[in-house]
Amino acid sequence: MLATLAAAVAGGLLARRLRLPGGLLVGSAIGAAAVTLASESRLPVPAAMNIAIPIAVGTLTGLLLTRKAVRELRSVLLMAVCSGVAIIALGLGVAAALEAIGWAPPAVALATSPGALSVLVGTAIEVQTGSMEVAMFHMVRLMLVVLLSPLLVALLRHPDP
Amino acid sequence: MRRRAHAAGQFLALLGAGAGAGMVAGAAGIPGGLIFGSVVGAAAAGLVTGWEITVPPWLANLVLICVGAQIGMRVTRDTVHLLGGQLLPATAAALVLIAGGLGITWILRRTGRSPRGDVLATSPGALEVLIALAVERNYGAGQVAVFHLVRVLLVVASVPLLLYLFPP
Repeated sequence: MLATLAAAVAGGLLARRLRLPGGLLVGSAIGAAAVTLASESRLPVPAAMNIAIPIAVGTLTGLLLTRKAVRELRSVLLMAVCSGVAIIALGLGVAAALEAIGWAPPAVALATSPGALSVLVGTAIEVQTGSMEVAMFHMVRLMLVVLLSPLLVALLRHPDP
Repeated sequence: MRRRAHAAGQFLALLGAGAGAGMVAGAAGIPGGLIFGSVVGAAAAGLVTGWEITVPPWLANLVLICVGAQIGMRVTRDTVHLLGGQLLPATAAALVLIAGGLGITWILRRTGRSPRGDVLATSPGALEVLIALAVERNYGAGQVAVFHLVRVLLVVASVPLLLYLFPP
């Protein structure tokens, strides 16, 4: 167990240093997986982790919503909400399409949801279904957004001030 | 010293509110209740009290590493083969979402309501990278950050619905 945790820390820190999107989470998963695969025996995940991790992720996310954040939201709130709802609906549409063609991973709606990587992976862990697939879908999404970011900048309407 | 102890007390109180609400929601059988309940509990306690807590980076990093470790500990050789088969649907899903973000930008522009940095604001994810780009090029980083914060909060709020519509 200690070797697995040490590998997770090393993998996470290395991936962050390499500036991989979602690096800390993805790198630590790869580090822990490497040790698990090398040992050829699957370690039991302590039951307390299945409760403590979702709660920790959820609480830290909740702390982002402060009064100051709410004040700053007001000016663009409507458009931001419309945009968020539309992209979430699109994610649900993608989930339905993947199910229809038989390509859906377990917990498909968590996998195709547009964001909140740690919360969705934490939820997959909580419901004990498809956490690896969910993490992989989100990692691919993040990497593609980063790879395509020069295109996004080129599509910005307003010229550099 | 006293100020630090006071801030630590507030932090622990908000953590307690999040954990308590998460446990209640989990026990009530709400899908994704542990996470969803703790988000609601911590946010509600923060908004009611007005306390603004800066989460220590080491703690946020530790939680992410624990999430990653927990995923890694479930990996077997069979799952590696399984993940290889998921690359195509994962890429297709990501490209559709990115195209969807661009479509939302197009609609916002057509309706005259697009913020500066609209393409960065409506992109589905990688908020640190996109906000950094907005800062670097002076494209309304604040508005870009707001769009991403709202998206993340809406995704979190939608978790019970996602699990209801597509039960795992």
